[in-house]
Amino acid sequence: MSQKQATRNAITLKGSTAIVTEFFNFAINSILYHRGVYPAGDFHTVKKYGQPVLLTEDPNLENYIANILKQVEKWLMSKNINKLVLVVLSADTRVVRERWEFDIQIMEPEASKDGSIPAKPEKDIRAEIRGILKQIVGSNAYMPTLSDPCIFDILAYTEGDAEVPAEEWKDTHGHLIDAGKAQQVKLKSFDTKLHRIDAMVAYRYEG
Amino acid sequence: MSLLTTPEASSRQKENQKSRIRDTKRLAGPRIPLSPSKPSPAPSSVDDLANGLDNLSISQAAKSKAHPLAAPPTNAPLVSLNVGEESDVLKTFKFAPSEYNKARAYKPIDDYRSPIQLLTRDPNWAALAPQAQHGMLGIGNMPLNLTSVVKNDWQGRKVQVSEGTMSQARELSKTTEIPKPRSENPDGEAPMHQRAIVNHGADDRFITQRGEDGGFHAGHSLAAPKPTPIEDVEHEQRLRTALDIEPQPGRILSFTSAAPRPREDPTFALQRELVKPLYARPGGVGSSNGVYTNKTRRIPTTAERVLDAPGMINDYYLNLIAWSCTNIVGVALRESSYIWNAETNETDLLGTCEQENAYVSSIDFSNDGSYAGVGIDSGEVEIWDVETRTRLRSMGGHQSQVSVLSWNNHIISSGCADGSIWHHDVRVGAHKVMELIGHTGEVCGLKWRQDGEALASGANDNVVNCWDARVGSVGGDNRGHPKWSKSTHTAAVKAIAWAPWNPNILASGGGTSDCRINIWSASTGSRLHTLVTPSQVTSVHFSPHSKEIFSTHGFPTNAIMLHSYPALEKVAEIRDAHDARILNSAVSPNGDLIVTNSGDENIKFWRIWEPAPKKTKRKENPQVVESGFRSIR
Repeated sequence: MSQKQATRNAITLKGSTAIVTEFFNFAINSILYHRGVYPAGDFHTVKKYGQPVLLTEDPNLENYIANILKQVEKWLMSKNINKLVLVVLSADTRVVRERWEFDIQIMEPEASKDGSIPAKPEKDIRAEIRGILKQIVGSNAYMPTLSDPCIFDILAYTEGDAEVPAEEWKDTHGHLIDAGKAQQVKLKSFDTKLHRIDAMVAYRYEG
Repeated sequence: MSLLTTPEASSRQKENQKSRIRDTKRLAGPRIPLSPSKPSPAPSSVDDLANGLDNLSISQAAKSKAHPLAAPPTNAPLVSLNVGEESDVLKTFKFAPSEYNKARAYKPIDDYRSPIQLLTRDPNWAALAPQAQHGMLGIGNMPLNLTSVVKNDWQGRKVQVSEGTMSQARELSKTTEIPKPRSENPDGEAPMHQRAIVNHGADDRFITQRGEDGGFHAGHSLAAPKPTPIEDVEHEQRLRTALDIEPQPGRILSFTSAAPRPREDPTFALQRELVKPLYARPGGVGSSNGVYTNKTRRIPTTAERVLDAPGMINDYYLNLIAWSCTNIVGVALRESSYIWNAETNETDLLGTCEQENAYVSSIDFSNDGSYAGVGIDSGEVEIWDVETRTRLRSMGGHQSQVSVLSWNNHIISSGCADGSIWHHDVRVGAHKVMELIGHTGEVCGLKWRQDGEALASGANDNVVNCWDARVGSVGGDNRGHPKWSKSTHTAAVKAIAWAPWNPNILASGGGTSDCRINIWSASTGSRLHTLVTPSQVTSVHFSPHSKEIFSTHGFPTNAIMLHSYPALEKVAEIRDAHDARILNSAVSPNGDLIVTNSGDENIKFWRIWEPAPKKTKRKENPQVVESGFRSIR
């Protein structure tokens, strides 16, 4: 019993990675829904983190995101990824409209006596994630509407020595928004005691 | 971007350089002083570097010119580009004739033989040397630069031209298609060149980068492919190799395949949004077989009895079925009305319209069940004796079709397509005793309260009106006004029902674009509840003995639904109860069966509720209702 208790109260890299990857999935879906990159009819509601969250029903998109996150998970496990960026581009002109940045920091918490790292209460993590997702919903209030059709791209900032499946991933540039036309909003963060995710959004604003 | 000759300009340039260097601090590896070709640098990242590299390569020509060693006469080894040689550089340098002529506007053509050569002719080249040593100067966005890439030591003291680098660069320029400068923002780019031209006038040897913003390629420039990220990256890598810059410590990766496009065009999505009530409604999720029943309630999901009704007019606005307190179902089929005795299972013809091509548009039984009111499309209201099947009288006056009838003792109220509601007193010759004006659309829902003190009506103008029967005296031109009027519904209101167990409760259901059942307080007119249903509400009934709401629906679910009241939880749903939309329904006198008629020319009987605990006909018996009413007061 005490053994079980101990495992439940400890966090492993694997567990933390799972939490972070799951968060990315919901965050990406939320952004795509709330920013209208994909039609609202393609999404369905699920209950997650104590609130309704929207997930896509489009099998192609679902697969696409799943494939990306599979690799992201591997990089998280090997601690090779330091940033994940969702870029929203205008479909016609390829102008970068929005850049949702998720900085991934590896934290080094002090381990307890038996070498395990005491876990942060799941409730707290959930509440922090909920905060970010709510900010994504709220972003519609201040970000310019995407009136033209948009596409998205996901960029992974990895270490130079990261293992990269060459046929699936390619080098690219940062898709930055032209300086002077970008507005940045820092979003909330969450951490699992092993990973810390700082969210930020930059959007093109020509006011 | 271009050659700057004034000291102020150069100092500004340095300021820009400084800020850029500060910005690029996060970049590891050798720091590259970048020519300030872009007015404001983006936040540091690889993009900066990429831009910098572009500019770097672009500006090398200027630098090489600025350096004494790199600026030999035309025949020097570095400048191997002569007019006759027709090198790659010159190939890229070839203008379309119009472009050529435009260029001539600024300078004589022989200045263009070689960028290097022409730079060496600059009388002010010495003045440029410090800047050139410090970093680089740009010479427009000339795509010639790779041939003259020069390795520089960044201290600005000494410059060495490596022949190896040069040849490498030249080779690269053969294999590489040099990406055009970004043209995403023509407004941002174009003025830069133009400014340069204006500033330097005719003496400028700056070769303008036409083609992106100039007129000659105008047709192409829109369609010209932009450098895709991958090209950018390859270009950047080549430049890195050429310049011996260490690769960045990190990489930016993206998934090779592009994200799948939305399945449909967004305009389709909008269309879909607009027609949403037809097939996607909250609460419209049913089970796979289209039947939903509560676990605690067992409701037969198949009809108890099906009658054939050939000639049933599939018109939402008509009310073609009624069930009397004597257990007789009246059905109007085109020009005839029929009665079906539920106890003996006998069908009889009640009567037929006299006029040619007329049809019966509504039917209702009087409270005691001995008379049937029949509305005709020509505007007559006929009274028929159910027992003898004879027409007793015909009351004309309406200008168009009588879509709905409702009896209140000796008064029969008729709703007309012109929006008026008339009270006919069947006992007197001058039958029209009141006219209620409150609708602008066809009245298709009309129900007297059981106690006869209130009348509710719904019409095609989306309005629900509640009328007080006590207001106004008898008289032909008496006009009533609604006690309250609600335009909450967004579609025609046909379904109207009073709660038998609470005279204060009125339910109304909206049509296709509304699909809501609203529950009103009859006395105040306040909306107590709203129930969203998946499709058009064609009729609604309160259970006589239990607190439940029954409703029938049109396309696409063609369902009958049962909800609890006031929780409005779904108790049962039978989808596709009919093959076409359900037009109307009527409750049996003892309250256990419901009959529905539909556009599929069937009449179905559904056992929805239990019969009354006591064998009293509570629904149709005004005595019971009245006593209930008193107790509530």
